[in-house]
Formats: sequence, C-alpha cells, structure tokens
Amino acid sequence: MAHLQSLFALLIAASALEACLAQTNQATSEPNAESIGSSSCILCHSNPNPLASQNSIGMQQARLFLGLDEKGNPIGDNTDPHASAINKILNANGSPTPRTKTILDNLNLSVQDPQFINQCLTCHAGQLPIHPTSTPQPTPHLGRSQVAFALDRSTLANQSIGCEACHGASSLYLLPHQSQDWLAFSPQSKSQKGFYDLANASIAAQVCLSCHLGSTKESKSIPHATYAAGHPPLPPFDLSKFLDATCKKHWTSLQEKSKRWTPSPSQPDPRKEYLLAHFSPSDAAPESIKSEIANHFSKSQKSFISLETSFVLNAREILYQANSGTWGDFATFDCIGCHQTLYKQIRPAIEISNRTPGRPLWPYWTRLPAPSQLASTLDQAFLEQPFGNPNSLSASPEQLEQAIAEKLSSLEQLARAPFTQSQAETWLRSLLTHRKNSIGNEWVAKQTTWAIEMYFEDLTNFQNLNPNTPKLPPHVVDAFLDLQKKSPPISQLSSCKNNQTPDDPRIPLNTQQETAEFIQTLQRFIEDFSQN
Amino acid sequence: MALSSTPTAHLQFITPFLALALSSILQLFTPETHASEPSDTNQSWGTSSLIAKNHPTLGASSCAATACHGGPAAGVSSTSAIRGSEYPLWLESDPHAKSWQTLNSPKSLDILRRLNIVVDGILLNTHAFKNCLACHNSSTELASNLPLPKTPEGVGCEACHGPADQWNYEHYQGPHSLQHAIENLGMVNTKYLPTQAKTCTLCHVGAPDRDMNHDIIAAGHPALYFDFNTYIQAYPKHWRLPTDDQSNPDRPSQQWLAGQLAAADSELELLQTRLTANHHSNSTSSSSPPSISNWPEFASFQCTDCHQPLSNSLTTKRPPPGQPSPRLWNLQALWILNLPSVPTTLPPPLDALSLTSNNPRDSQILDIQFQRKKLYHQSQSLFPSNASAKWQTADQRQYASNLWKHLDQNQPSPDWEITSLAYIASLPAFESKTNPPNPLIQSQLSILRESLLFPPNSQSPRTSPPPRTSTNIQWNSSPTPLFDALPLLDAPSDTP
Repeated sequence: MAHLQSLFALLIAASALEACLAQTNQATSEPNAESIGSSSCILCHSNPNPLASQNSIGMQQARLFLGLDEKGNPIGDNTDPHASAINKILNANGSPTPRTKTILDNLNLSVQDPQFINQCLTCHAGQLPIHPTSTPQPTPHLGRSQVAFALDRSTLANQSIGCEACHGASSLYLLPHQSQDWLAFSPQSKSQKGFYDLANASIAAQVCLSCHLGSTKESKSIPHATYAAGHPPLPPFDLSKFLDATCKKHWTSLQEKSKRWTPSPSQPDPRKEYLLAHFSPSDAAPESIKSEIANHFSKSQKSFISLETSFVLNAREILYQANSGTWGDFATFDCIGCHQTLYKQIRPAIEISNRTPGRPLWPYWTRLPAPSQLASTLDQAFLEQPFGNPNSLSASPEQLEQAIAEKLSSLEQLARAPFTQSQAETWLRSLLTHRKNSIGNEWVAKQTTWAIEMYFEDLTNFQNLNPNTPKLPPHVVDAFLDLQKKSPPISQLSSCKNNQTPDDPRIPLNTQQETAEFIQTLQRFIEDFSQN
Repeated sequence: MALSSTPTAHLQFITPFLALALSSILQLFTPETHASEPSDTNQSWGTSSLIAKNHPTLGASSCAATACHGGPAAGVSSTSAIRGSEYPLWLESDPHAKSWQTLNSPKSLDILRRLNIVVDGILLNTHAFKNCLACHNSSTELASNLPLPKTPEGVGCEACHGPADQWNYEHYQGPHSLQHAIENLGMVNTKYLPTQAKTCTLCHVGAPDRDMNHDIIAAGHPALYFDFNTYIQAYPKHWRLPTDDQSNPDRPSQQWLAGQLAAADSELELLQTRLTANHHSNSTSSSSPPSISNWPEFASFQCTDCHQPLSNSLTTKRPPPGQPSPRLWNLQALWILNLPSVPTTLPPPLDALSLTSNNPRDSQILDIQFQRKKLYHQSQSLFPSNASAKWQTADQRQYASNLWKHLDQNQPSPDWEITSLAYIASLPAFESKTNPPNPLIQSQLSILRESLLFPPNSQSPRTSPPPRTSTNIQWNSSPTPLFDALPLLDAPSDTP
C-alpha cells in the first residue's frame, strides 16, 4: 500500500506539472480539466470491501474493469474488452503484435512514429493524440496525456484503455468526487468539472462513438488504408447491446440503483436527487419513481438514443471532413456500398427519390427511420457526383453544426424521459418498416437485430412485472428465437470471450451462407412482427 | 510526402519546363499529317466519330438498293463481285441491327428510368440519352422532344463505315473512287485491321461521346468485356476476307493484337476524358469533351478491387493499401509494349491514379497521351498499311507464355479478369491452321474456359479464383527477334 501511495504522489506531481505546462493553450468553453491517469483511480476503486459503498458492486469498479481478483491477479477470460485493448496491438514488451506488424508494414509505419500514437493509441490505449503542428486541436478531455499514459504503463492499468478515456479528464473532479455530497451534484455541475454523465445514454453514446464510429477531429478515425492494411472492419454500434454484452460490468444500472434506494423523507436524500437527475417520472413520489423506473424500457431507449446519436455524430464527422479538407476517404462511405459481390442480385437499396444508382452513401446503419433535413442534405452531397461532393456541405457549415448541436441537446433531454412500452414498440415498428428495404446490408441487419433483442429483454421484464399484459403470439416469439440463433454473437464483434489469438487474420465474420440465412431469418421476423 | 519516395510517382512532380520538353519530344514522334491536331488521335486510327460529325447520316436504307448492297450474296450473280447481300445479312443476322430494339426492351427502359433519362416516355435528359444512342443507334439526331431518333435503325452501316453524306455517291464511281472516298471523304477503311478494331472499341470500350460509366452499370447495364478477336470470330460477317488473309495462319493472333492495341487506346482516351471532365461546366461548351462522367469514375477501376466481400483476405497487396487500381481489362497492350518481360504493374503514373483526387495532375494526362502515342506507333509498325502484319503466332505464344509465367510467379490466386485475359491471349496461340490441334492443350484450355464461365443467371464473373491449369500447357515457344525490333519509345523521365 505504501508503494501505491508514493506512486500516487508521484503521479499527482507529474500531472500537476503537465497541467501547468498545458494550461496556456486552452481557450474553449469546456472545463480546463487535465488527465492524471488511471493509477489514481485504481487506488480507491479496487477496494474489495463490500461495506465501502452502498453500491451493489462496492468500490470495485477498477478491479472489475481490469479483470483482477482481490489480490490484484488477473482472472483471465471475460474481462471488459477495453481493459485489454492495447494487448491487441502491442506485446507486453512494447513490440507490435503480428497483426499490428502487418498493418504497420503495409502502411510503411513503425511503433516509433507519431502516427502510431495519433492513429492507433488514441483508441486502443485511450491516449490523447500528439499533434506536432497543433491543427486541429483535439478535444483534451477524453483520454490520457502522454505522461499519464507512460506512468500507467508501469501499473495495473498497463493494458487498458484508461478510465479517463470514458469518464473524462480528472484533475478537476478528482477531489470533489470523493466527497459525500458528490452523489447529489447535478450532471451539469459534474460535467463542468470534466466528469462525463455516462448514465445519460446520449452522452455515453457520444463518448463511445468517438472511437466506435470515429472522429477525425479527435484523431480517432480509421482511414480505409488502415482497414486495407489489415485492421478488422468496425462493426455498427448499439450502446444498449454493447453494455448488455459486457461480461464484467463495473457499473450498476438505473434499475438496480432504484431498487437499492431506501427513501428517507425526513433528511436530504442524495440518492433521490441522483435518480431524479437522470429520470423524470410523471410523479416524484418515491413509490412512483421506483415503479416507473422498474417499468421503464431502458434497454430499448438506449438502442433508440444510441442510433439517433450515431446518425448525428456521423453527420458531424462528415461535415468536419467536408470543411477541413479531409474529405475523400473510402471509410466515410457505407462499407457494403462497395464491398458487395458482383454476382449477387442487386440489393434492395434505400428508397431515395431520383437516386443515381451506383454511388455509395454514408453508412446505412446510422440511417434513421424518420426523414430529416440533415439526412437529405447529406444524401444530396453524396449523390451529386460519384464519391460525393464536399463543396455542397461547406456552403453553410454553421447552420448544419447548429442543427447537430440542437439535436444532441434534445437527445440528452430525451434520455432522461421515461420510455414506455408503447413508445418502445412504436419506435421498433417504425425502425423495422424503414429497414425492411435495406436488410440486404449485413451491417444494418446486425444493428437491427440488436435493437430487437433489447426490446424483447425489456418486454420480458415488463411482462414479469405486469403478468396481465397480453403476450406476443407464439409464432412471433418463435421467429425471434430463431433470429437469435442465426444472429452473429456479440463475441464475434467485441471480445466478451477474449479467446482470440492476437494474430487472427480477422475478427471472424460469418460466411456468406450464414449471412444470407441470418438476413432471411430477420426478414421473416420483420414480416411476422409487423403483421402482428 | 510519402508518395514522392515511391518509384510509382516519378512523373508527378514534373516541372513545367520538363513538361514542355516532353511535349516537344512527343511531337517528334507524331506523324506530320497529324501534328496540327495532337488531341484527336482518333483521326490517326482512321475512324469516324458520329456525334462530332459534320455530315449527317443517311440511314441504312440508302445502301440497300438491290443493285448495291441489298442484292444476292457476292459471288452468286457474278464470281468477281465484291459486294452483294450486306444489307439483308446485317438486317437478318447482325446483332447490331437489333440494338435499337435492345434500347427499347423492358430492361433498358428500367435503366433509363433509374437514371432519370427517360421516364414514362418523356425525355428528361437529352445529353445522357444521346450518350445511349451513340452506341445503340446510328443517328443521335432526335425527331422531336420524344426519345425517338430520326433514323431508328440500330447500329447501321454508317456507324462503322462513317456518315455517308459526302461519299454516298462518290464511292462507286469507278476503279479508284473507293480509295478516294476513304482518303478524302471520310469513309472508314474497315479493311485495315487496326482501324477495324478501333471502330469496334469506340462503342465496345467507349469514347468521349459514348461513355458507359458506373452509374449506368449500377442501373443495370452489363459491364463491357470486349475482345476483338473473340467477337469478330463469332460475328456474322457481311464481307469476304481477301484470299491472302483467309489463308494467313497468323490472322487470329493479329486480330487479337489489333484488338488489344485499339482497346487500350480507347480505354486511355476514355480515362483522359473522365479525368479532365469538368464537373460543373456547361456540357454544351465545345472546349470540354461531351462526357457524362465526373472524376472519380468508378468504371475506370478494377471492379473486384471494391466489389469483394469484407471477409475476403486481401486481394491486392500493391501499395498504397485500399486504393483501387485502374481497370486492366482493356490495358493489356501496355504490357505487350514492354515485351518480352511482363511488368508487374501498369506504367507508373497510371498505377498511381488517385481516385480521390479532384484535381488530377497534369502529368497523369501527359502520361496517358504519351502511352497513346506509343500505342499508335506500335500499331503503325506492326500493321504496315502496304505490307503484311508483323505479328505471328510464335509471338503470340511467347507473350501468352510470359503472361502465365508471370501469373504463376506473382499472383498465386489471380482474379477472374486477369485469368480471362490470359486465357483469351492463349487461344490464338493455338488456333493456327499450320499447327494441328493438340488434344492435351485443347482440353486444358477447355477446363480453363469452364472455370471462367459466369454462374447461371448472372452477368458478372465469379469471385473465387479459378483452378490453375495453365502451367501444364506445353508452350513450346522460342523467342522471336520481333520484340527487339519494335520501335519502343523510352518512357518519359523526370531527370534531364
């Protein structure tokens, strides 16, 4: 313990020094937070004593995340995939894994190149990019500074994406968040200290998507050349499914928090304030808060919010590329827009009036059921000429950026509102109706299936709580079970069962035969579900 | 820049001075008669462009008089007759006569509707429709604002022989009138093999005024896979070959070569037009070519470079990763120029064509023009107008042999296109009448053919690599001195 404490002191000192050095070039409205590194978090958040917190997982968040036993030894499989993300690309001695070596060789790069940090470690190790020329300025709040990264590499956090990669740079919240009243802080005031409100599905999705969709501005995008050099394809993203499939969850859901809450009418009740900050019930009486949260279709809501957020952030990314002279990378386009075998029947395409055939669009899986001005502006830019016309997006960037900011802000609001059974069902029906015509795209099929799965989990929970709810007809349930069997398991996309050797040629995708069966099954399900 | 260190980019940083010097060198190699119009090398191939024509077409019926081309077969009425039943032969047996019907088939109407060219019988895009007519009909003149040409006859006589307005009367006025019509009045000399091949590739590969691009393919039009020798052998001919040519054992190889040279020239011409197409310029402007494509034009690139399933292992190892390469199908002649060795890639600047560049470098255009000059000189040298062609079956055999060796060594799992090219190049090497067919080779070639056939109900090739049988073929070739004798131009260099 003494050893850890001295290390902690060293970390604080080093980070403070770096914070001082970096302070001068911050001019954004965002908080002036600096990263400190994960080691300072691990110190408290790996306490195995269950009494250390009223939380069901105690103070063991870092231990669960890192996949360690109570003595700090690795427990092997089924850890959070983020805890071993750097393992996929670097060996313990810092040398590249065989796959990384292939990719680097094909790109004519080495691990010593700054590009390796800027293009690989930003996501695989949650490290802040280094920009020698400082244009564009990356968002400084997600990820570790170089110093923090270097220090973390000698600790238990050595293989992981750092805590700050998702929770935000910690220099401003490190002390306040240890106090008793932290729970009652509003999400806004936490955010002002650099702490991201990950309980809000839209904010969480924004954080995840910075890597899982990519952001050129934050130096977190995967250009097509990197895929072609050997990087596995990036699958679509569904916050709900991805959280659900994480094996060692180091967080508790709103439902669990609500269940464990014992209302205390006489005293100040920080738990109640916390719940109300993240959920707006129709009635603030404790019993109705508890009941509404229990009946809330939270997983469907996360799917819904995450898809909407994906669309908006994808639009922001496209807009950024159009206005920063970085337009023109194949990775901006829908993979399957080009990567379709020639002898397949012409795939059913998204219905867009006056569409010129053969011009790839932006990723189909980020497309929303409801039409919008933003979506048609993007379509127009992509369809104007082969490979798109960035100039038509750079005409009024402020207007588009404002539409994006407004949409994100409304999504953050929506994420706090209850999602009822009928809302969830209505959304799923509109999604399935819209996607029926583009299901030939494997990516769309996967993402759609995840949304269906999340709805069914919510529905099961709802039916358990309300036994009188009418049940789905057996053939729809059968169609769903059939779909789950044919659907590619999440482990093939993120490594819940982390049993792949690092030099696997690719994350195993289904064979074409399996994919065809999967898509047919999904089509059958949509038909059965829609007619019901 | 990383690119500058690669040998593939040596032309991209050429200075204006060097560009000037280079164009002067090019001029030296340009035949005098064409030096004044270096941009129109079509002229030198002896073909005639229909849309750019100054003279109207008269229609096939103007040739169909019984005493002219609408009579009995040549040799029936008179043993010495050189003309006869061309018109009825064309009308009854030639697929070109049906190309107007093809354009009116339900499938074509779907394509026209998808591209918003003709919807519900209303013509919405005249420019794009003329692009269709340019190959599906002899005349692109429209009768009215309806999608109906003035002469709806398909690909008629004048599509290949040239608009007849100037020479219709002249070309049968005595012994030298035909020669006069060809030399002075714009009649196309289809008897000269390179001209004949280039006439075909104007449509079957493309030209600036007839651009079958990726938009049209994606709307349902089959991609173009033309091979002159294969097509001409299957073609219901309305002419008789001169006796010399009939008995010429090297004729299939010569047809193959003429086809490759013409196809490459057409492909490069198309590429040049697509590269320079101004996206938003007024299409009626006479200075810009009447192309319907914008750059980047996907049809200029190897289909399977993009159209591969994501789970496929990498098919292209060529740097930079993920950058599609120019479409090979019509550019094989650029390899033939470099015989006896088959190079691993296309000439450098072509290989480095950037799909993403909105401002293609002048040096790439310059290189395309240079390659086209080379092709032209090759065709002139290999097919002298007053002597027999220099390419022989032995040359064909050596080229095919080299190509297979190259594939065996460098491409363990080649794709459909490159294997098909090698197969097609191998056929004439064994078609010679002086060599009796070798059953072993015939069976090897037929296995190869089976593996290359399109799957049923498909207009696209298989993506799985076909089995390799080529190495078993007994090539039996001995080097010929021809390769050393070819007047190769040195590639332009950026060092003074």
